[in-house]
Amino acid sequence: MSWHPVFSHPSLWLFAGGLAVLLLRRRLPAPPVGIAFAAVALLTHLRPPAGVHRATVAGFDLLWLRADSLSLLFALVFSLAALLGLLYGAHRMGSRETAAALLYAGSAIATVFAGDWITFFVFWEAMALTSLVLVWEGGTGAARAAGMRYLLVHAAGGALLFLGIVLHLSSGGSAAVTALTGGGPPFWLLLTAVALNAAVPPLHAWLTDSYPEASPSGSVFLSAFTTKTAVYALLRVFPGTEALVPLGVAMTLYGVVFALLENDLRRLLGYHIVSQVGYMVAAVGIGTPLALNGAGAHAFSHILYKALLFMGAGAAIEATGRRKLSDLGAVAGRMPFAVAMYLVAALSISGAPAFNGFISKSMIVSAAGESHHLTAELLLTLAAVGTFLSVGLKLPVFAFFRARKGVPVKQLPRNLLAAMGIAGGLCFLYGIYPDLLYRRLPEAAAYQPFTLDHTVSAVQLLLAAGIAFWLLFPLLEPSPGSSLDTDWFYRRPLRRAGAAALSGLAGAPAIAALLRRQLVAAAFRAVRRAAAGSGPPEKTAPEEPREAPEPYGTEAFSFRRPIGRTILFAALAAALLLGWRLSGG
Amino acid sequence: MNRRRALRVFGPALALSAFFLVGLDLLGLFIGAEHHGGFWNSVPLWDAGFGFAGGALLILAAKRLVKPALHRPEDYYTEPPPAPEGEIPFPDR
Repeated sequence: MSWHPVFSHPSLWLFAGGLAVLLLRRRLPAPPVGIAFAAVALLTHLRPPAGVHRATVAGFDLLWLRADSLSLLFALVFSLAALLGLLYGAHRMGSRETAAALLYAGSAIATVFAGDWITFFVFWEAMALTSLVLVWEGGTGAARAAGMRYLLVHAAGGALLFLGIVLHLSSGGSAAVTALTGGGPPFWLLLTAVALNAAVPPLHAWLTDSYPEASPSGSVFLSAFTTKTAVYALLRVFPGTEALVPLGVAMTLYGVVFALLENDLRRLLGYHIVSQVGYMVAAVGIGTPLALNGAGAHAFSHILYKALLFMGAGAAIEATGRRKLSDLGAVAGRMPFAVAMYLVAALSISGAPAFNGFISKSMIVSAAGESHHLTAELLLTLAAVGTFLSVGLKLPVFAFFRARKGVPVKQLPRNLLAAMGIAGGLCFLYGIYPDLLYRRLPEAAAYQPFTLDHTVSAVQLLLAAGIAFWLLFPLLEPSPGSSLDTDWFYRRPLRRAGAAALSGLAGAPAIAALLRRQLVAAAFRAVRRAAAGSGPPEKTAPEEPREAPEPYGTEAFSFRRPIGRTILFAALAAALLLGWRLSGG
Repeated sequence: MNRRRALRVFGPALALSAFFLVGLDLLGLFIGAEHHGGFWNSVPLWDAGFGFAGGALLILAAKRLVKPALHRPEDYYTEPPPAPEGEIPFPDR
C-alpha cells in the first residue's frame, strides 16, 4: 500500500491536530484530541518519509519535504517531545495552549524537513509566533511583558534571517538549504539569525527571560523546539565553522555560572539550556564526523532530559505554588516519584554513566580531544562539573530536600506523573542501549561510550564535584533576586531611549496626550477616593512581613493577549510578500 | 538538610565509591588503558582533582566575582526607572 508522502509527514498530523482542537473546543476537551494527533504524528516514524518532494507555490519551487537521517533524527525526537508534553499538561491545558503546542511542534518538524530556504523561513517564523502564544499562556502580567520582548527579539532575528536569505539567493546561492562555506554578508547574517535562536550569548537573554514565565506545561514545550531547531540548522548549514568552537565553549560556561546564581527554578534550567546547547554549537564548529554525530545525539538526549527537568520543576511549582528556590524545600517526601524522575534527568544532564547525557556528551568531549581542540576539551569538562553542581545538587538539595516547615504540597495528577515516568524511562533506556540512538546518527563514525576510561572519569568528576559542593555549601544558599543579563540593554537604556525618541518625534501632541491622560487618571483617583469615604484618609496598616509568597498562577488573569493582532500582522506581511512575488518582483 | 546530616547519609556511600574509583583508576594505569585527548587524561586521579578544583573554582567565581557585580533585587525591572530631571516619563501601559 502506498500513500501520498504528505501523510507520512508528522507536521501534517500536528497541524491537523491544532486545527481540530480549535474547531472542536466547545465539544471535546482539548488535550485528548491533541494527544491522539500527536500519537499519530509519532507513529508516522514507523514508516518515515523518504526522499525529496517538491511543489510549486506562487512561482516558488519549494522542496517542502526532504527526509534524510539528520532531519529524521530531529523529527523523531520532536514528535516524542510533543506527545510527552501534551500528556504532562493534559490536566491543565486549555484549547488555546494545546493548539499552540501542536502547531509549534508541527512548525519545528516542518522546519527540519524543509529543503529550501523559503519553506525553512516560513516555518521558522511560524515557530516563533506559536511559541509566543505558549509564553503568553503563562497568564501573568510578567508573562505578557516577557512575551512582548520575546516577540521583538525574534522579529529582529527573523528580519536578519530574511535579509540573509534574500542576499544569499540574489547573489546566486543555491535555493536548497545546504552547507554554506566561506564568508560574505549572507553567511554571517544567516549565522547570526540561527545563533539567536540557538541562544548564543549575548543573543540568549530572550530564553532565560521568557521560558520561566510560561505555564509549567508551556515551558516543557518551549525547552524542546526552538533552540534544537537552531542546532539542526547549524548542523545542516554551518558544519565545521571554526568560529563556533570558542562561542560554544563560552556558552557552556556562561550558562553554568549564571545558573549557580539563579533562584528561579525554571530560569536556572533555562541557563542550562544555554549551557547544553553550547556543547552542540562547539561540536558543530569542530566539524569532524564524530563531533557532528555528537551534536545530533546530544540534541536528541538533551530534548528528553531537559523536558523531564522542566517537568520536575513544573511539578514542584504546581504542587506548592512556589517557583523560587528560596521559598521551597522539604517536598521530596510528599512527591517522591516526581523527585526521583527529576533526579534521573539531573543525572542524565550531568553525564552520569547509564543515563542518556553520558552517551552523547562524552562523544563531543572525545571528539574535541581527538581533533586536538584541547582547551575546548578541558573547558567542556569544567562545564560538566558546573552542570552537576547546579542541576544535580543545588536545585534538588534546596528545592526538594532541605528541611523546611510549612511548604504546602498538593497531590500531583496521574497524567503528569505518567509523562515523567515515560521520559525518565527513555533517559535510562538510551543510556543503557546507546545503539538505539547511534544507529540513527547521520555520519559514519564508530564510538564506544562505555570504556573504562570514560566511565571512571565521569564518576570521579561527579563525586569530586559533590565534595566541592559539600565544602562550599553555605556559599550556595539561594537568596531572592536575580542577575542582570544582556536583556538589561533593551529593558533599560534602549527602552528609555526609545521612549525619549518617541516623545521627541511625536512632539507636542504626544506630550499633550500624555498630560491629558495623567490628568484624567488623577481626576479618576480623586473621584474614587471621594467615593470611598469623605473622611480623612485611613491610616494604612503597616505591611505584614511576607510569610508565604504569592502562589503561582493565581494572579488575576486580566490582560488580553494580542494574538489576533499578531496573526493579522503576520498575515499582512505574508500577503505583501506573496503579492510582490506574483506581481513579478 | 544540613551538612552534617548530608555527610552521615551520603558519607559511607561516597567513601566506598571513592575507594573503588581509586582502585579502578590505578587498575587502568596498570593494564595500560587507552587514553585520548589531552596529556592530562593519563594522569592518575586527574578527574577527581579536576572535578574538585573546577567545582570550587566555579562556585567561588560565580558567588564572589559575578554575583557582587550583577545581582539585583527581584523588583529591579518592575519598579519604574527614575526619570532624569526634565524628562517626561513614558507611560507604562
